[in-house]
Amino acid sequence: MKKLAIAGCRVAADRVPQALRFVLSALSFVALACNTLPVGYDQLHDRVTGTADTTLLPDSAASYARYVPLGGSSILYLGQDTSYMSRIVLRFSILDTMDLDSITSFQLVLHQPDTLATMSFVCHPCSSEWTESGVSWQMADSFNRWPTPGGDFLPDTLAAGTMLGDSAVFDFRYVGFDSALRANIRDCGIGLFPQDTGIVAIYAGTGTISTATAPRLRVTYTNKGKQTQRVVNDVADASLIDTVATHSQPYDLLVGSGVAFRTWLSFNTDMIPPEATIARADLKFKPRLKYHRADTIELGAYRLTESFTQKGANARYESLPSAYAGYLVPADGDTVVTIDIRSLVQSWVNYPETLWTNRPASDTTLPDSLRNHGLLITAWPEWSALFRFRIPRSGPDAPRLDIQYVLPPEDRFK
Amino acid sequence: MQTENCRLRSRGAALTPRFAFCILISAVTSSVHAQSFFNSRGLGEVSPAGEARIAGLAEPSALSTLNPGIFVGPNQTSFHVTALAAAALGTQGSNTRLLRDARPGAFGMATPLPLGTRLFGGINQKFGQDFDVWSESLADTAYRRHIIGRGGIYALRVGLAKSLFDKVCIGAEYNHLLGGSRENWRFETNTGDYTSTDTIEVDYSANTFKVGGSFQNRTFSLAAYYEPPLNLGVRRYKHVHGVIDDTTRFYNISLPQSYSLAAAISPTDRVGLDLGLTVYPWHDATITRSDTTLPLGYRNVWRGSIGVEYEIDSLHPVRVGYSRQTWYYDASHNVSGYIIFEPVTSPITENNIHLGTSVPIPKFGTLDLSGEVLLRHSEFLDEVAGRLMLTLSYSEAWTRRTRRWGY
Repeated sequence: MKKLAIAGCRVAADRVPQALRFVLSALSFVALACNTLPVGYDQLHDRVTGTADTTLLPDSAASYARYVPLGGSSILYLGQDTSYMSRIVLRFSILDTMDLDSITSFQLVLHQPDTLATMSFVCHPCSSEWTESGVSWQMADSFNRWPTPGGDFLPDTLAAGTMLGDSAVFDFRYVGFDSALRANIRDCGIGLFPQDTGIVAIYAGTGTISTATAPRLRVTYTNKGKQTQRVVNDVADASLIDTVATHSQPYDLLVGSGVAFRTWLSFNTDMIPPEATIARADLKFKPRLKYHRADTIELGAYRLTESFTQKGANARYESLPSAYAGYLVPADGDTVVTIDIRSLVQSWVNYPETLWTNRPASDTTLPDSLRNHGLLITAWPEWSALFRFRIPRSGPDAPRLDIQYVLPPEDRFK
Repeated sequence: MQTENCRLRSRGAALTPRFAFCILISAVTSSVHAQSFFNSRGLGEVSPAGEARIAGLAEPSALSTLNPGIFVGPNQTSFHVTALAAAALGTQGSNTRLLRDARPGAFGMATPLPLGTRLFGGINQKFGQDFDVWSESLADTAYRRHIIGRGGIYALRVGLAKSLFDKVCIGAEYNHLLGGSRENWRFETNTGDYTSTDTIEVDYSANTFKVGGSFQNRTFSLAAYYEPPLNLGVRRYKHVHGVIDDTTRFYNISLPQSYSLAAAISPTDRVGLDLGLTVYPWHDATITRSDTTLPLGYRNVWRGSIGVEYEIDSLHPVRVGYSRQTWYYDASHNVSGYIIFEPVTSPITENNIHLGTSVPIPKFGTLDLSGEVLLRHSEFLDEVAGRLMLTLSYSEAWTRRTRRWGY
C-alpha cells in the first residue's frame, strides 16, 4: 500500500507542471481569441470611406417663457420668494345631498414632504371653473383665460392657518354658506394663497401613485346617533405659478420649469453628407444656475416641426422629446450638460435643406415639418421641481454640438 | 472461430452509430467556428470538398464526390454528412488574433438506378465569406470599426452518373448556387458607444453544370471534372443605419471555367498514393454593373496536392498529405496606416499539411476524421488555420474501401 501511495504521489507531482502548462496555454488561447487587435483590417481598407468629427455652434438661438399647465405635477407649490409666486387650486367632489345639519366638523387636510417647512395661507373659493389639464397662471382651461391673471376668487375665507409638520388639518367653512356658494365651491373649487415669504411643496392628489397624501376634506357627521367620518379626496389640483423676477437680461437663453422657459437652438448640418450615419451627437453647454428646488434637473430636447423664425414662440414641436438628460446640480457649478441628440441630428442630416430649395414649387410630397427647424431645450416635464438656469450665448460654456459621423463603406464588389 | 474473433475485435475498435452521431452533432453545435482574415475580399476562400477522407489525402477534389463521374462501382445507396470546425490565428506586424468557427460542412447522397446509372445529390459550400476584423486599437485613436462578415456561396447539386465496364464512370450534375453574406459594420466611438452603422447584405444565385469522369481499377485510378464558366447573379442590399433610404444594386460576376484532375496509385495492398491538381484560370473574371464590365483582378491559380494512405491494419488507415495553392485574389495592405493610399496587394499562398483516419461503424459505415494545418502567407499578413473535419458516411463510392470493411 505504501509503495502504491508513493507511486501515486510521484505521478501527481509529475503532472503539476504539465497541468500548469496546459492552463497557461488555454489562457493564452482565450486571450488571443478575445483581443481586438487590427489583424486583417487592411483587407478592407479600400472599402472604408471615412469618418469625421465636427463641432457645430448654433446659427441662431432664442429663448421665451410660457405659462404652462401644471396640473400633472405630483407636487404643488405654495408661497412667494424673490423669483416666483405660487398659488394652489383644488377641487373636491362634495356630495350636495349630504345632510349638513348632522355635520360636526369640516376640515381640510394637507401633507408636505418637507416636515420643517412652514407656510401660512388663506383659502378662498374660486369664482370660475377650471380644468386640471389646462389651468395655469393665465388660463382657466385650454381655451379660456382667467379674467384676472392668477385666478379669480371670491373674498369669502374658507380656511386659514399654517402649514407645519408632515400634515396639517384646517377647519373648513362650508356648512355655514348658502347653497349658491356651496355649489360654487363644488364646481369651481378653492384657492390657497400664501401669507409668508418662501415656498413650500405640498403633495398633490394627481400625478402620484398613493392617495394617502392627497389633499382631502375630512367630514365628521352624526349618523344614526354615531360619529362617522368621511374623507373626500381632491379630484383636481394644480399650482398657479408666476415669476416675480427672472434676474436675467432680455437676450439671455433661459431654461426653467414652473413658468416654462424654453431655449431654441438651430444648427446648420448641411455640411454633413446625407448618407452619413451619426455615431455621436452630443449637445453640450455649461449652465449658470439661477434657481433650483431639487438637486436633479431633468431636461428634454424637442424637435421643432415649424419654423421658429417665422412663428416664434408659437412654433410647434414634437409632443415627445427626442432626447433626455439629467443634470445633477453640482456643488462647484462646473458640470457640463450633455444631451445625446443623435437621432435628432440623424433626421436633420437625412433631410438636408437642399431637398426643399431644389424641388419644384408644385412638389408638396415632402412635408415642411421634416426640415431642420432646430430644437427646443426645456425642463422635462415642465411641471417638475422649480428651477431656472441660463445658457451662455458665447464663450467656452456656450452650446456646441459635437458630432462624429461615419460614411457607409464601399461595396465588396466595385 | 477466427471469424468470431475478428468480429469481436471489430466491435471493440469501432464506434457505435449513436456515439458517432453525438460527436458529429457536438462538433456542429460547438462554439468553435471557419473564418479567415482574407475572406473579406473576392468571393472568399474556395471551400474544401467537405469529405474528411479526401481532406486527409490533401484534398484531391477530383477523387471526391464533387466529381460527378466518381461513382464507378457501388450499387447501394450512400450518403455522407460532414461537420467542420476551424480556427485561424492571424499575425500582422506584432499583432496576433484568433478567429473560430464551426458549421456543417457538406451533405451528399447517392442511390443506384437501373442500367448502371446512379442518381446523386448534395449540398456543399463553394466559397466561405466569414471574417471578423477590428480596425486600429491604438490608444491614441479616437474610434474603432468592427466588421463582422458571415455567409458564403453554397451549391445544391443533383446529377446522374453512368458506370461503364465496372471501371469507368461518367457523370453530369446540375448545380444551383445560392447563398449570401451579411456584413455588419459597427463603430465604437471614443466615448465607448458601440453602434451598428451599416449592414451590407449580398445575395448570390447562379445555375451551372459540371461534368466529370473517372477510370478506376485495382492499382490505378484517374479522375477529372470540368466546371464551365459561371455567371453569378449578385444582389447587394446596403442598409445604412439611421438613414431612411437603403440602396439595392445588381451585379453579374463572370467566373471562367475551372477543372480538376487526380490520380490514385496503389502499388501494394496497404499503400495508396493520391495526386491532385485543380486549376482556376480566373484572370479574366469580370463584374458587370449597369452595362459596364470591369475586370475583377483575379489570378490564374492552381492547387496541387499529394497524399498517402497507409493501412496499419485492415480497420485503421492513416492518411497524410501536403498541398499547396495560391488564392485567386490578392491580399491588400495599406502602407501608411493612417493616410489612405492606394493599397498594395500581394498574392496569398497556402501550404497545408493534412492528416486523417477512419473509424468503422459496424452495420453502418465509417466515421472519417481529418485534421489540417493551413499556413497562409501574404506579404503583410500571415494566418495559421487549423481545420477539423468529421464525416459520417454510409458510402459505397470507393470500391477499395468497400472491400476493406466488407459491407
